[in-house]
Amino acid sequence: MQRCFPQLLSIFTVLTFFTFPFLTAEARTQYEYERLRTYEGAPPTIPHEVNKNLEQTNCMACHSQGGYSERFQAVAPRTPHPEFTMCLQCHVPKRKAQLFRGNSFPHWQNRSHPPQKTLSSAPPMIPHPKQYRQNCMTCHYGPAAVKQVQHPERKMCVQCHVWAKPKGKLQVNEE
Amino acid sequence: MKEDVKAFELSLCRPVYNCSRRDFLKQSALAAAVVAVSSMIPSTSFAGFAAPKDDGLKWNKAPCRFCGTGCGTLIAVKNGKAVAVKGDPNALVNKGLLCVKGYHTIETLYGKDRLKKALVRKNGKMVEVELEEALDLIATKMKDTINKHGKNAIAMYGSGQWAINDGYAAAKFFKGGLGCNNLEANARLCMASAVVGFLTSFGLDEPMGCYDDLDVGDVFILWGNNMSEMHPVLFSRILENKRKNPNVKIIDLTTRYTRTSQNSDKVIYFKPQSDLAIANGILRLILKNKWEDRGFIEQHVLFKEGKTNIGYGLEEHFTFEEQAKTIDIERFKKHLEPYTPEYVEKISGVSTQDLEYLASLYGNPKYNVVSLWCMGMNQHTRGTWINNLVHNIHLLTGKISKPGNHPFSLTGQPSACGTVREVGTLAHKLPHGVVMNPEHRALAAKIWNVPVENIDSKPGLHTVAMFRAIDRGEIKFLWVQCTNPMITMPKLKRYRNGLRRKDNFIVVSDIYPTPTTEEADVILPAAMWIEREGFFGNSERRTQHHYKLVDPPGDAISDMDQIIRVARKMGYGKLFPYPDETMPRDLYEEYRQFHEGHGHDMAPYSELIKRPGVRWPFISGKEVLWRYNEKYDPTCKKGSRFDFYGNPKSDNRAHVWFRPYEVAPESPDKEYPFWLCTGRVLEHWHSGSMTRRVPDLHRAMPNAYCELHPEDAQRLNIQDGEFIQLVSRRGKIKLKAYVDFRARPTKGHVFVPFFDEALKINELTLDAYCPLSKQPDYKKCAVRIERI
Repeated sequence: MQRCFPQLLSIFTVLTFFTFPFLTAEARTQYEYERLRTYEGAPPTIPHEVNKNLEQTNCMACHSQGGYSERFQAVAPRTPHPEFTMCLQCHVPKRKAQLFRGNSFPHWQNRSHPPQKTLSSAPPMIPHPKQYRQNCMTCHYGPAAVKQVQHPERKMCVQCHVWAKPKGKLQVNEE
Repeated sequence: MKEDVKAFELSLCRPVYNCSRRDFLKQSALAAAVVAVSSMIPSTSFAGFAAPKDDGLKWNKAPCRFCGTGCGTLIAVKNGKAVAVKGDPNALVNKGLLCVKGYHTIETLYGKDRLKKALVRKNGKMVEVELEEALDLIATKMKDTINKHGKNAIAMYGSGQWAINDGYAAAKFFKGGLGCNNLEANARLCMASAVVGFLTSFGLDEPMGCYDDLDVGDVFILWGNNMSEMHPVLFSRILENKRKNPNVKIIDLTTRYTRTSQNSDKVIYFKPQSDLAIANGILRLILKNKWEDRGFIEQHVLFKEGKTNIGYGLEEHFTFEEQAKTIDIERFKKHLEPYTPEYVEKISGVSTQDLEYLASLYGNPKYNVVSLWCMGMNQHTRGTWINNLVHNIHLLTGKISKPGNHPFSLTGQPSACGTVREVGTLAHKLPHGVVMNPEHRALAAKIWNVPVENIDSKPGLHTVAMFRAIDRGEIKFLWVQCTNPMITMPKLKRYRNGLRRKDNFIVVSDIYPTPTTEEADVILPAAMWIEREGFFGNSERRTQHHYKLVDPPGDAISDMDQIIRVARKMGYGKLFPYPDETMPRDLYEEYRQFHEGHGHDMAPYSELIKRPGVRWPFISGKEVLWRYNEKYDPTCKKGSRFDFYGNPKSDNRAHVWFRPYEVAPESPDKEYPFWLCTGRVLEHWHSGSMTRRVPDLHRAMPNAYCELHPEDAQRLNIQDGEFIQLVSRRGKIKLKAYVDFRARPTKGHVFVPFFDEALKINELTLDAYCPLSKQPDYKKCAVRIERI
């Protein structure tokens, strides 16, 4: 029985997940995720309007915990970096579609590299940078998840998953 | 999909838990549930795991291309293109955080209309030519102009976005080679008041503290600057301090309610120009309540008064000569007597309570106070005076040159400090000192290896005077690099007509077509920052180096290369006797010699390439974080405690100047009842030539607009989003009025950002300037609103 306990727990979790008011149409897809980011790692643009009233939108009303927004008919993702409170410093909305001049910088799409791992049964390495992504669950669990994890009950993600490359290490261009 | 399930099932059934038959059934159920879940989230896929491979990205450090914060970034290059940016977690400035402009710097390289070839005006049309032909033409024109009209008929107008090596090449060529002091930069329009404020108060330029003060300050008083949009990462640093220390107070002294105000503890509105009265009011209260640091004053301060009623630079050949006199503290107190809280309230609108509150924050010895300012105080017809006054407050209370206590003048451009101020690309400056000083000329002649007679001892023309001289036809050749004066000159129409004269020759080096390239006779394509090796110097005296990371497009070369090639064609090749591949390093090492031993020593190249920037003074392998304080600054005399070694003639004391309140040159009146203030928004850099070509930034803020107070809008019957016409004595402009969009101005006040080249708001502004610093005032002129 003890040996099956982890499995029971996971079934239980999955079953609750199953019954969670889950809205397929509004869940974040890989396409949507990429569409808001010019390049991998860019801060996403805001896909909804920001109140014109001095732009005093209380972002945290929806993004501190995440959840479904009636107003925007979509699921708000939870912020992975709640320590930063000046949201509009990095995240901007879209107020016009037409460009001033064209730009040939290729917008991120069709993420090319699949998750990496050394052995076929090993936990995959984390392919994205660590910066501002301390809370894995914001993208990997729940209705706003981009890539759903199958074992959300295991809390210590970094115990098994490491970053594919030492990020943040200074590479000096040797010339 | 089926493969997913199979792989998943197999992975579950690995013999870790000693799977029993019962377990297997449970696991299958789980797998089935997962399949169901997978079908609900179509994009989830567990197939196709691959062995680790190199993603092909090469990351390198570079300072951000934009504001004077000088964030450290890491830029990823793949297949010769810049593909991603992130904040450098090792950079002490920003510790990995950037702002929206910083995150999009690399896209500025790839606008579709990037200038790739040189263009020359032939029969009224711009024609593509080989770069060599364009450079030959420039050299010929310069030579001809000098021969026919003298060396002061040429001029160069550079930029605080010039790399240090660009500015140094320009300074050496013009001042050491040609002997012409008509070398200016757009930082004259941005930081000149701060510079002259520092020089008159301390004898040496640039802040004495650093960003570390933002982490340990208790009170942050912002003097008319919208730090949340203009230095976002520094403001975030203050907010982080506040998060850890909830007693930290941010006071926003402002003429508009902005995002900064939203995040401040207290907002105090004041009337334009009355900051002079407020500062004097604070000084008077500090002395009246005996809150001053008497010991500090007795040892380290000298009181001075200067000329008053000094004009506004509006006359064509306006000149100004300071008449300074040393006074004592009693006379200083007497000068301050009129600035009672009641009088200050009358002029500024700041209540007596608020003034006393501000004074108490400065006066309370328990608080570490940082004053922060930028364009509000610098783009001011009394910019030098208001800079002096805020320095005074910190000097009288002794809250200076120690951690958390700092009159912090924030710089706007990425290298206004590093290039314009430190290399000295201004009409009167040399890399060390000024052209008027024979010792400084001798030093320059020695390092530059030119005869000292080459260096002209008479200062050249400052920016406004230079453009006026172009308009009068006295300057016949102008080379503009890395800036857009046909958007940024005040009273724009006059100076645009000046450039359009048939008898002058205008060369413009830029990366995109702009209203300035429109007026050019030759356009040179320039390389952007990471398309060449360069150095920037930010607000906290930090010099940052970056390598060349990608190739520039087409025939584009760096500003430095353009200057050197023209110099060689004109016979000044021996000024640049280094191989081209190592020219940036060699020029930097040569330039460094100017600053040795004057309390301005700079880190060697070998240090700069290793670290995300190094602050100067860099003495014995250590950065000096707080200058003039014996504890931190080895240049100070032993036992002096504080040593303001920039003022040797004043016994190494800092100067506390009496500076009165004087009115603005053009205030609202019956015909033009509104103040017009111009400025910036978060999303755009300066005239928008770079940021408007970045899709995300342009879409977030597509056009300029006019901010109106809701009560003014109601009174004038103007709807939010309606087109209106703003009219000043110099021009008019049609644009949309927004109420409560980004910020709310005070009543009787409108604000227009200047990033939109379709809405040239500077056609309305006035070219009045501070007589000491020669910096124009973009924040105050009079307009009226017309409904259309």
